[in-house]
Amino acid sequence: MLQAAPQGPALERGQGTIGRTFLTGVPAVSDNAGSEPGGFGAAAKEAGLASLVAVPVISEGRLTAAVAWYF
Amino acid sequence: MKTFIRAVEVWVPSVDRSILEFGGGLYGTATRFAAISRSLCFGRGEGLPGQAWEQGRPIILKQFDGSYFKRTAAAHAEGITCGIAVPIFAGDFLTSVLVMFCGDDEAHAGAIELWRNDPTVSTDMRLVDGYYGTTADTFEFMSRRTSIRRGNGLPGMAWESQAPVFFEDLGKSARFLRADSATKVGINRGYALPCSVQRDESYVMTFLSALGTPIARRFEMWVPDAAREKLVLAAVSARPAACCRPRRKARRWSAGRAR
Repeated sequence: MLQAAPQGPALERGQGTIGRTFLTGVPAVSDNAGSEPGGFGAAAKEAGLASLVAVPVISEGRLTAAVAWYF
Repeated sequence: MKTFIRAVEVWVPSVDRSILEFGGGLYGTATRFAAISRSLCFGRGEGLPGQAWEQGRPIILKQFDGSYFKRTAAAHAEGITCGIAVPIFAGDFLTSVLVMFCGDDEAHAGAIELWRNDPTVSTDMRLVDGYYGTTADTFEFMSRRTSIRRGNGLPGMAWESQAPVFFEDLGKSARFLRADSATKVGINRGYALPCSVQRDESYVMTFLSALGTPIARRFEMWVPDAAREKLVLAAVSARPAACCRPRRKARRWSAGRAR
């Protein structure tokens, strides 16, 4: 099982596709992963990742996590 | 590299909450299917997104012909044969419906499953339905005969924690109860997502994939910090050949540290 790394990189509310999901609680998609803000877009581009979808995980009305799938 | 999920789309309630409107999608090479989808909207109970809204729970639709699915011809033209709709609720409030589509390619080992606990019937979680690609008969047989306790196995852990759970090597994990069957059909990686529903039941979606056809090319799990001001990267699953990305690698994704 993957271990959590809670001290890793962080995103502000509304920052990029994943941050937008955190802000709205609605899944968000981007067909241009390379345009994500900060270093995320460049890293996605370097890894050959073209697009992503961010999905909120909501429990008892509160967002407990956001999952991002890259394609 | 082909991925198990062929297309993803988001449907959001209109301002007056009478219909679901297109809220974005990723369709890859399925351009005709994309064009048709962007022009649609769904009332409550209409089409796959509307059914998920109406039923208030996730739906796996494996047979488009003769069903309520509205885009059958376009889907079949693109080789899309299965749709999975997941309504997302914040309390009783529907925020959106996420729909994923899978195809019928050969050697598409993997599975997307829906598990449910109905506390009026059982203390366990049982399989509601699953999409198993083309090579997972043995695994499907086993899954349909498995009951999962809260906290046990991949679905049971997500059910208990109400958070996503990732397994990087299912075959070696003592906590994955169906490891032998999974290994036989090439399934080696999985994760589970708890689903928010409008009823007293609990639902968990599991995504199980093989090396050749990963569910997606990369997964990330982000969690709110203590102040709920930021999202922090909590777990990463990268290339199919990789076990898991080490933390120093994940740091390359830090905002403001462009490479």
